[in-house]
Formats: sequence, C-alpha cells, structure tokens
Amino acid sequence: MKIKHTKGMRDIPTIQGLNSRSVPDTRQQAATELARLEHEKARLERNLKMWINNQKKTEGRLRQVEERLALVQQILVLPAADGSPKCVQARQSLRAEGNGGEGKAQGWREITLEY
Amino acid sequence: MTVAGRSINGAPTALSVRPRPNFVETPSVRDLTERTLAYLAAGFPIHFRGPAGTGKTTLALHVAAQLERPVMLIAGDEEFATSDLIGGQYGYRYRKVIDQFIHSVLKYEEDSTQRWVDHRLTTACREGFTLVYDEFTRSRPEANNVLLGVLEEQLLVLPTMSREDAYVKVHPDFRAIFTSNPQEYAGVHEVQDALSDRLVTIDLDYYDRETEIAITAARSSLPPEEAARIVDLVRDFRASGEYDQTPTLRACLMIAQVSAMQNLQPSARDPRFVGICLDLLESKTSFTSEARDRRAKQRKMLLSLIDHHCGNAVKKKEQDRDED
Repeated sequence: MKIKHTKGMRDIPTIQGLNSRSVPDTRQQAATELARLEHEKARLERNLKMWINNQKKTEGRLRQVEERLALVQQILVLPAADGSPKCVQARQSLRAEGNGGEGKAQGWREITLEY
Repeated sequence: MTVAGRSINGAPTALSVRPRPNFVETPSVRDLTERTLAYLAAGFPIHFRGPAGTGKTTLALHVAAQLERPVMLIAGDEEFATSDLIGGQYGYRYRKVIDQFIHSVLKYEEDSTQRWVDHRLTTACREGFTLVYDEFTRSRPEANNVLLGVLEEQLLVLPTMSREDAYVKVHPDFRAIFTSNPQEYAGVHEVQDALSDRLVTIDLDYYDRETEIAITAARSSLPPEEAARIVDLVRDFRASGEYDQTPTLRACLMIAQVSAMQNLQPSARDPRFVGICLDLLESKTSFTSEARDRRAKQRKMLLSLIDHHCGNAVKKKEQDRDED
C-alpha cells in the first residue's frame, strides 16, 4: 500500500473534506453532489470560454498595435523623397482625399445629376 | 441604394447638379435665372409654374446649380405624407449589454428604442442644402403643411416623440425651389393660400423660337437650320390649337434626336421622317371613335405643315446647290 505523505495544510483531512471526498452513501447525497458538480462544471466551462475569448481579443489587439507600431516606425525611420516627413505627406494625402468632394468631408454622399 | 435621401449605410445622399455639356443658356434663360437668384438671395422661396414642357424642372435645377450647394430633389406624389418629407420612426435600435468584468458576476441589460430617420426636407434644413420640390401640387395640400414654418419662421417642427431636437433651426444656406403645373392639369391639387403666399411665383411659358432652336440643335446635334424646320413645324402645330395635349419642346427633341440617329434629313420627301412626325404629333389628339373625322383633318393639316416647313426649303436648298 502506498503511504500518502502530508505535504501541506490542503492534505490534512478535515470533517468537511472527508465528507466531500467520500463516495456518497445515499441517493439523496448522490443527487446533491451531482447538482453541485454540474454547477461547478458549468462555471468552469464559462470561465474557460471567457479566457479563450480574452486570449483571442488580446491577440487581435496585439496584432493591431504591432501594425500601427510598424507604420509609426516607418514614418520615423524612413526619410521622404521630397525631404518632408512622412507624417506631413500622410496628412497631405488625407487632405487631398477630402477635397475630392465637399460631401465626403461633411459626411454625406453626393450623386451627380446632369440636367 | 438610397432610402428617402439616406443611403443604406446611414449617410444622407445629396445631388450635385451640373449642366450637360450641350446645355443651352440663351439670353432669356440667363435673365430668368438671374431674377430667380436675386429672389433666392433675399431668402424667398421660388415657385416655377407653367404647363408641361416649359422647362420648369430644368430651370429649377439650373438655378440650384448656381447656388453651389448640394441639392435635395423631391417629386410630389398623391401618396405623400408629412413623414415622407421630414422623416419618421423606422425600425428599432436594440441594445444588449452583458458585463462579466468580474467573471462570477453577470450583469445583463437589454433595451430597445425606436430609430428616427431624417428624410430629405429635414436633411436639407439641417445641412443647408437646396430643396427642389418638383411638381409639389401633386402632393396633397396637408402633406405640405410642414413647409409653412420652414419658409416663414425658419423652423422645422418635428414630432415630439421623434428625438431630442424636436425643433430644427433651418440652416441659413437652405433655399427652396418649387415647380408645379397649373391647376387644370390632371392629378394636381390646389395650393394652400398660406403656402402660395410665401412663394415668389414665376409663370413660365414656352420658350421663344430662338431658344427652342438652340436647344433642339444642341440636344440632337442637327445643324441649326434643320432643327429650325422641326421647331417651326411643332410651333405652327401648337399655334393651330388642333390637339388635346399641347405639343411642346419635347416633341421637337424627340423628332430631332430620332432623325439624327437615323441619319434622316428633315424633308417632306422622306417617308420615314414624315412617319416620325406623324407618330409624335398625331398622338396629341385623343383616340376615340368620335374623333375619327377630326384625326383625318388633323393628319391632312400636319402633312401640309410638314410640306410647308420641310418640303419647299429642302427643294430650294437642293436647287441652290445644283445652281452652284
């Protein structure tokens, strides 16, 4: 027989521990424990799902941050061909897009109608 | 796809109007446009009234183009209600919040609110667009009641349940141009006195001969002398009064455009050209068994008009060419 050594407080047998670890004796005890365990299982599954979701979200956010980081580094590191910083160029191109139509800049769509 | 001036992605859709490359602006059109712009600059809404084919809608769009603001175009309709002008409650905005910031605590919220969608008048008032309300007398008078406050008090009153801002102060750049047919036309309603009183009404008649020739030549790419024959033919027919539906500039454009596409000369000796003229002009008389004699007389008159305007001239031109 294998001798079980007590390693910490967790392994000290208590009345409650003995009760919960022992095989249920009656049908009522079994039903009670079944309900408790099912609840515990559902809780742990919810927990797991949440952690998986969190992991996915964090990975997505990390990817976004890395992309943005690469863009900012590129602006800082690479000099522009015309001597102006890249950020100025980016702003200029955004402004040029805005000038494409007043509507775009103001937040409405425009359809051209010839009469 | 757009729904009542609002694209499916939620941003309002406006028109940017501009003249066609072959748009004709004769002195009479320019004069009318300048007068209209003067009224609009003073803040008065304009109402172009006239029979079909007098260029009301085109003139309204031309004036709107001069204002250089986006245009909201509405076409009057019997089925129109106030909500078709200002907007209404369309669908629901549904919100569900599940908060599990602390994993063992579940906070759950659900609510739904009715979703308000601005229609063209509201968008135009809010953003300062130019409103072109085409054939507004085709809408029932009560549908246009909301315009009274907009045109006089510069205030658009929305239903109180709609949203927080139940009153919309009309943007200073907002301008309104209305067009309508006279009251004897089919499918139109009378204008309320209160609305009519707020509008500067300009009565439009058919364009002068020079303008009609210029427009027909420009839109069909026929030479002006050939366009003139067609215009004179239609104008003479109009002057005869022998019809139920007035032949307009549209008839000139149709004859000229089809002739140009088929490479036909406006000549009484070309049966295809004569056929086109008869198709387009004979239909201006109602088709009843009692009117058979009248139609026969009308055909005779049309044939003599075609011969007068497109027969001798062509012969003379060909004779001149032979002499040269």
